[in-house]
Amino acid sequence: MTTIQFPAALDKNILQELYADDVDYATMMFDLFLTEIIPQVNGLKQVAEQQNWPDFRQICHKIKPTFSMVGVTQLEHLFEKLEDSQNLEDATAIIDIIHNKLAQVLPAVQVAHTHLKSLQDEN
Amino acid sequence: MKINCLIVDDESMARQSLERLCSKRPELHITDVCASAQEALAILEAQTIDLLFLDVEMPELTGLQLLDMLPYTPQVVLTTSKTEYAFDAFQYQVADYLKKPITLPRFNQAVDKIIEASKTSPTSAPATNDIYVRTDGRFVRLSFDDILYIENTGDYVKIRMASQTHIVHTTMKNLEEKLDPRRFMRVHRTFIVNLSRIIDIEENTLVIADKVIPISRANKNELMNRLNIL
Repeated sequence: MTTIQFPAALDKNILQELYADDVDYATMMFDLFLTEIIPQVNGLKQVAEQQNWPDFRQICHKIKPTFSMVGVTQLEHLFEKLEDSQNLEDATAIIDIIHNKLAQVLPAVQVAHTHLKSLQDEN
Repeated sequence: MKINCLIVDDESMARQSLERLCSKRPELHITDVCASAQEALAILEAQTIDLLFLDVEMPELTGLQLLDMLPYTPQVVLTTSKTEYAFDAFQYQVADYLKKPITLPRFNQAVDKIIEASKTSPTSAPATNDIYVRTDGRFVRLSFDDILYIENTGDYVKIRMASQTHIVHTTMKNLEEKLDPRRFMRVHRTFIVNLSRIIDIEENTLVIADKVIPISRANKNELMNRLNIL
């Protein structure tokens, strides 16, 4: 049985509940997060600037649970706040906090992704 | 026999996650995976789906709106990242409600429950003469005999009894499925009536208690056929 070792910066409990020892599943989700979700998070300010709040809310709502899929549970409450924001000033402030916090934790996500890829190659 | 599943979610990580979880259960067969409710509706109309994993919040047509349009009712598991839909899940009588991200133990729990329920034939359920509705934060038992008519008012339905009216957050379709079809009939888009409570019928209306209720042209013949007319 392969044991996945996740970095301490990630929520190991949720990752264990999500993937147990399924390396392929975890790798697929980390891949998708890095290739599809991160660009969406990086583009949030541009979406907010359009001030189409129902669409903005929908995008935030979709992004929110994907962070837990890679063990970054600490950003979920910020996305909840972002979903509720109704003006550009509030939204921009929250997006800045998200970007800062994400910059701190993203290296751990990338380390986990590399580790998963190497486990896949071993198998 | 395998359970035919349809996965509906507009977010790709959620779709792939559910596909992976379903693949871990040999009892499940993924018939299709859709990125929108419109796409799902076309599939549901074309083939029989036993189990629907349905995202609630989707653009244009939401998961709950899709449920209102279904030609039949498969088992439904709602998937959402918000807990606020728990009440809707209850109202739509879905099999389960999974909060994203969906963990393996919670997914297995939902599938086990559905498999267990599918072993019980729905036709063996005892006939009932009443319905429990949630109103003002409590469940109230309403006898079919005492219901005069039901009126649709958008997101709510008004259940008119002889002595009072209950306002319930549900759809006409949901409620209609819970009523005894021998006693109740939908006579108009916005009205279901208790046939035994009709006082008189005119050209395009009927009267129950003091209420004049429209009869749609499409339902007039069926109504007349179901009444004991001399």
